[in-house]
Amino acid sequence: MMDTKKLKQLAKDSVYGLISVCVFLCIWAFGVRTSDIGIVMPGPGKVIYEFIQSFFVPIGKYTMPGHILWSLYRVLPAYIVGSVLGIVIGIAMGWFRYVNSFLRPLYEMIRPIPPIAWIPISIVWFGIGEGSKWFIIFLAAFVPVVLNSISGAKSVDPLLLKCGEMLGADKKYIFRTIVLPYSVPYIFSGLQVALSASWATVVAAEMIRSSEGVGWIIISSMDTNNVTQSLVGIVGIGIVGFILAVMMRELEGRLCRWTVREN
Amino acid sequence: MDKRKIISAGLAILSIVLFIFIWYLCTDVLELVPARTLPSPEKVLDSFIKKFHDKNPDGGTLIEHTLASLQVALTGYLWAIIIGVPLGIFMAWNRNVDKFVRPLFDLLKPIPGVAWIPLMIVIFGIGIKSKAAVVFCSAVVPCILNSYTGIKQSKEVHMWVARTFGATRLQMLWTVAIPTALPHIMTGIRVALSSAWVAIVAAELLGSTKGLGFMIQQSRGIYRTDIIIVGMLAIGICGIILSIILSFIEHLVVKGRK
Amino acid sequence: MNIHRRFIALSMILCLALSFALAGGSGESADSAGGDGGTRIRVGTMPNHIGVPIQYALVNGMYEEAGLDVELILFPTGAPINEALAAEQIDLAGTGGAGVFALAAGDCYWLGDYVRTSDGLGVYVRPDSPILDYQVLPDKPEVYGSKETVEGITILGSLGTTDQFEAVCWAQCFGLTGNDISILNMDRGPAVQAFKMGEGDAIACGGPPYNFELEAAGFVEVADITDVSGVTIDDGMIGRKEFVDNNEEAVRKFVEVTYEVVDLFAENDEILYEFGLNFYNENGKDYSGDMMQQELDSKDYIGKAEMSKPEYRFGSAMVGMGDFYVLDGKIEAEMLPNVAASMRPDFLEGIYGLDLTVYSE
Repeated sequence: MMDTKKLKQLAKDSVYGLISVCVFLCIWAFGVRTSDIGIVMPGPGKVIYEFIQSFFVPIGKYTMPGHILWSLYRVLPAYIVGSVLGIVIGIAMGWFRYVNSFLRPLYEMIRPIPPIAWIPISIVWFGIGEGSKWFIIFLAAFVPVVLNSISGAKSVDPLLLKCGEMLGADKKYIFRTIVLPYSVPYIFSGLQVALSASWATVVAAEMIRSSEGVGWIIISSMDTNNVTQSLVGIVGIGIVGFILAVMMRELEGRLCRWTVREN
Repeated sequence: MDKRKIISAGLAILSIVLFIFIWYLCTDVLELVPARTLPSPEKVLDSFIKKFHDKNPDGGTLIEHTLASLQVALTGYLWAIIIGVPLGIFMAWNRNVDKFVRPLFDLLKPIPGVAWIPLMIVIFGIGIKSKAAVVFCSAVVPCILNSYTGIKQSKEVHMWVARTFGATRLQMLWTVAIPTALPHIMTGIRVALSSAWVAIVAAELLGSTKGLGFMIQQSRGIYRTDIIIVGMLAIGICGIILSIILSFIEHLVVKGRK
Repeated sequence: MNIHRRFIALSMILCLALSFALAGGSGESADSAGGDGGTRIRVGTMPNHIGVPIQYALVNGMYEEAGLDVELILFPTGAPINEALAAEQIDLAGTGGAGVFALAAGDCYWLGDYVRTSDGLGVYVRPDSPILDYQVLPDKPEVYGSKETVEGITILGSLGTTDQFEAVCWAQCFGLTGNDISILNMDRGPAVQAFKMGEGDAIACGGPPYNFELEAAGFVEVADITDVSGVTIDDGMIGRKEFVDNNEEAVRKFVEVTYEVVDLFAENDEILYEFGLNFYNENGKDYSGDMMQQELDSKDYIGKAEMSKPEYRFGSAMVGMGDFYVLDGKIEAEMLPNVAASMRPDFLEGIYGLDLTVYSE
């Protein structure tokens, strides 16, 4: 019974969503037809058509899936390394006072510089290839994950810690069974932020220097003044960004549930 | 307790000193890395100070570039607050608006601000307007999102109390929901500030005649790594100063409301 | 139990991440020596008149015959070539005006000029620009503009390349400096599009095919690079010192083979016409036969014949531009001697059996 109710709600919501998207597309189409924007902007039909087309007809060297894979290939390894390292260092900084005092100044030095601003120097250090892109994505992931891991480790309920101590748990045990599980939700929100930051950064990096990838699609549209291509790129970026965020949320839902149950 | 604090402070100083020492060692003393890859800390400091009055090599002093960047970033940022916060509140408050606008917002949300750059250039031309629009696109998302969650999370109980006392819907919004949501809204505004600052750097790297991003861009092809680092430092320092100012304002606003 | 599983999962992720990183790392570090195709040389250049001879030699297997394993990487302008040289991702490059910054930094050699590209490099404005109302320079009657009309304008162009050089030279004609004009940094393709859309007051043209495109759109050249700078722009070959010093023999061969093609092009337009047209179009530049013909008429390849002339000066463009950029503040004065010190005419002297004079004032 519960399920049918939920289903109904879902159906209702999707109808609303569909209507709102349709209205948006109609306004877009209408605006393009009737106003001056039409000179530079294509209508939604053309963009959608071109977007589907881009799966079969290559833009530059690759088709849309090819470009997306290139971008993901730049994001994922660096994101994973940055996240893992960020979690380790963040928790260490949040839990061990002296680690924090030693690493904090260094961290505070890189934190305020946006990863995008690292692009030029990373090109000098790591060249124009993938190395420089991995480096800045690493930074884009590392910085927010550290921040959230620190606050995760610091937010542990002191009552729980005292209980653990009183019941005779040693430091290691407390760390493993209380601090780590307690930090997981924080870490996950850091991972979420880091993922969207990484995605935005790869787009920027590809716009600044590359010859493939979704960021390249939009920047190369400037070469020929092809606004449709630029919008096709935006659609691709949006969809992949959306899928990444949803996947992360799923993962968080599963892992956090598991943590809670274990506690 | 005191001893711990002293050790902590010592470690903090040690880490900075060590960092600069290693940097210095690698560049000036052992010359492990050439100056074009990493200039020595001395050179960077020197260029940083010189850049305050020296227009070379990029046609503007550090102050001029910083002001140019700030002007554009703040314009887009203010618009993002003016439009984003009320929109987020409105979305959360009105169920019908929520149903219609939310899916659309979810659709546009995952597109990073930088991706809009070429389109904005086509629509607004290359100038302050297009860059401010890019900043707006990046900053408006956290403004909307946090205002939305803030309002949604205001406690049902408080609403009931207000309703029992005969508050109108508008009064409920104004006296209960918004004050409760204020910390959330302020978080959104703070996140938006860093998004705005990132966006302006990206926009300036891609097409501009002034600004810190431009300064970095000019120094790239001409082997002036020191100026690139000066630019990065300036970007970082500005970011810090802006967020300090903002947390000061936040302190005033949120406290005042209580 | 669960904790163990979590740690296993974590370590697996870590391993995965590490293997990714390592795989990437090993792919990045291409070593420059060895391989059965002879000495490996990574060469950067542009898909234009500068790149044609190198591409020709490569496609026709001439480098291979000489025992060289050449990998060619194409860049849109000289500025990213500098970055790639600095990051040690390429060893040699065929480059233009941007090369002077690499020479001034002191870690590259200038190996030889091989194509003169003064034509097509210049500043263009729209036909209704007020700049066209003024021709105030008695010694440069061809140059349009005045101090008032040029000061403070925005010029589209690519930073750190000849685009910037010609724009700043033009401004200097009226007693202005590079800091009195704004250069809006864009790659050349987008810059032309943006100029057509009404952006900027002027555009610094980076040579063919953009000058054809600008002229076709009705824009007017107000300053030719040779008129405003007094320097003839000779594009040529640059090499990382470290690589050149360690691979003298391979570099000598590379120069020899490339100049073989340059000599061929200097004498024979038909081969160049055919090959260049293909090369440009393959790399996304829409070239027509007419455009190619115009380009041939305006570009002179500098081979043995040109170098044998008594008035020929080796590296004149680079040294001249170096002086200029010091005045303009783009190159620090103490770095300037590096430019003159990086001239290496000895490769060509050996190949051609000539005695070359390096340019000096």
